[in-house]
Amino acid sequence: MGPDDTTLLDVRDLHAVYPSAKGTVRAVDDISFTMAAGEVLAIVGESGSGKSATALAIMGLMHRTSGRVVSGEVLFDSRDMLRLTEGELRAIRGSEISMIFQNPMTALNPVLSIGHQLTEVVRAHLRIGRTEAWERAVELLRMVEIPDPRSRLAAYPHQLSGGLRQRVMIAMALSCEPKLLIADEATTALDVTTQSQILKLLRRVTAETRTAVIVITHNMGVVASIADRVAVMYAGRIVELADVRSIFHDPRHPYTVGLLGSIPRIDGPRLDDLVAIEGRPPSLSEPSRGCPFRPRCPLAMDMCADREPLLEPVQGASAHLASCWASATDQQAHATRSRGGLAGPDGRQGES
Amino acid sequence: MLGYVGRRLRSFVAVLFVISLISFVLTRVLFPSPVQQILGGQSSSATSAQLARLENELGLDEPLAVQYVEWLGSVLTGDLGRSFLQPVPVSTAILQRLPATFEISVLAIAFAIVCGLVLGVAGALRRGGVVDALTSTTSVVALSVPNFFLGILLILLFALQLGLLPTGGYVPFSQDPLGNLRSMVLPVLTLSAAYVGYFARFSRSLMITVLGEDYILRAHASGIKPRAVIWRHGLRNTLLPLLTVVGVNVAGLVGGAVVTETIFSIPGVGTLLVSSILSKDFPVLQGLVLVITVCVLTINLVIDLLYGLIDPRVRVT
Repeated sequence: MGPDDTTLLDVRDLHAVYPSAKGTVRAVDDISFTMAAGEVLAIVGESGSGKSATALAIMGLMHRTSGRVVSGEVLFDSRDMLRLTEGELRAIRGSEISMIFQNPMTALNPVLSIGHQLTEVVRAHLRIGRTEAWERAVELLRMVEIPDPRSRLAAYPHQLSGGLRQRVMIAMALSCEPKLLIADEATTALDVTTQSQILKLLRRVTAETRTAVIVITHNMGVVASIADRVAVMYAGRIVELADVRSIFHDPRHPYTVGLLGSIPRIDGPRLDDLVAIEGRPPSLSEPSRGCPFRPRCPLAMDMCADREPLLEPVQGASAHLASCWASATDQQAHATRSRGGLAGPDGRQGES
Repeated sequence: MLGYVGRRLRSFVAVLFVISLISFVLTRVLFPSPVQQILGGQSSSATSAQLARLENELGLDEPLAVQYVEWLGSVLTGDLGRSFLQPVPVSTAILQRLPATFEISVLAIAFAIVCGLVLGVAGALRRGGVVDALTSTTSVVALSVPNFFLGILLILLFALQLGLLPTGGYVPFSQDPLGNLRSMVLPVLTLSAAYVGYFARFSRSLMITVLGEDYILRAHASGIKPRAVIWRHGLRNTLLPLLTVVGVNVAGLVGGAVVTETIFSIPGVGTLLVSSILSKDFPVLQGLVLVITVCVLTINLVIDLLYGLIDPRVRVT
């Protein structure tokens, strides 16, 4: 999907770093992608692959976590988020782009009531009075299916369960009808039944409001149930970017294949063992040469050690991008795919 | 809430009882024969008959247990006894001295909280910068300078060199408000310095921890103004633990008051405490220990109740 007039977010060559004792960590290493309005993009990858850093960079919040954006552009609605003033950014944050955090236990201030925190956000962006903001908060809690919303507003975070708190976070994130919602591991800290309820809720409310969503997760089940398109991140780079169907049915990067192979399934053919990806991700504080996945890759070739593959369209599909010499050059990738014994998500259409 | 206060009051009484017992036993063990001193010390010409008569008059010849029970009995009826040395009841002697000490302590703690918070929060917000270096240095210096030394330095500079403030003494606020405040400046600075440093360091590290919390990042992500993030979300979560630390330190304030009142020759509880020890004036000493204990316990109770007001998680129902 190229940038056109419905493009909401256009990230170009984004490069962000964190300082560390061992030197600078390249958390986000020259990534580019676009999103259309209303689209749901999943960013998947293991811990430390740069998913959250990407989200914070888009929000212009890297400096709040000691990180720094080195270069690149984040065009949101044709404005470069990296060139806006702090005041302009503040007007966008929480209103046009909002974010749901991983842990609902710690993302709410323990000493302020739910109502206080909800109305605070509403009143930071909408010019409305206290009572009106309170009514809006009641409405928001009703939208996220919290029973007895009026009395919940007086409650403090510790009086609510994890699932309820995450609903409050969703209500807060959607309070000003954002165009883009970033859900950073929004279901990870919840128990499994609550996860699926929250996921359902997210899908419903964002579909109703046509809100574009970036779902950051390491859970392929979440990806299958909510995403239109998927970006697979590895070592700070996007290694594969395609619609959700292609990712599940026709993965081109061996890392994606590995990720899919590590999902336990109860309905497919039974495998003896879950397939794990051997080895560990490379250190991001040392300069690398060649493909960062090479040491763990079953398809590694000589050229992988010398030159880093670029994220390019795979044969026969212009919207399916992968950065792998093997999938770009021959049929070996197809061989791996069948060896992984993978089936895609059944039942859900992956159109975008 | 009432049940909670009730439970607290019960332990309050228990602590008071134990303290009274300890102070009673300690005075008797440390000063086995106070009458010698009362009648003029080693060099006095008092005969042993005179000593015995006085001992009998003061009830000091009875067994310790009897003495304690008699003393406790009169304390419970509100009578702290009479001073050995001065012709006044102990309660009067203490009440005369309380206002000065109370004023210095309250002003010193208030000053230390405000000043410590400002220094600490400023340092935390400008972490690693020039402001941080300055405030950190200030707090370490304030923390480490002994108060008797600081008091003398302050007198030298402000009273003797510049002549801006009095060297000491105490004027009740009701008599001369301005003179009272002028006489309070140096003692309060002296007494609070260490607390300023301590509270500053504590609130700095607390604020840094709080600023790293998820809800702070979330507040920024919600587009809340940084000032509001710091005041509404940051400071409130910093105040809570600081309050506990303040409560714990109130007891130590008495020791500081002794030194400060001595340096600035203020007729307060601290100086009375010292003179009652030096002159072996048991009734005054025991009465003072009791009064100080009551004050410290009350302040701690008030702080715990305040805590519930600020932090909904410990709100008792």
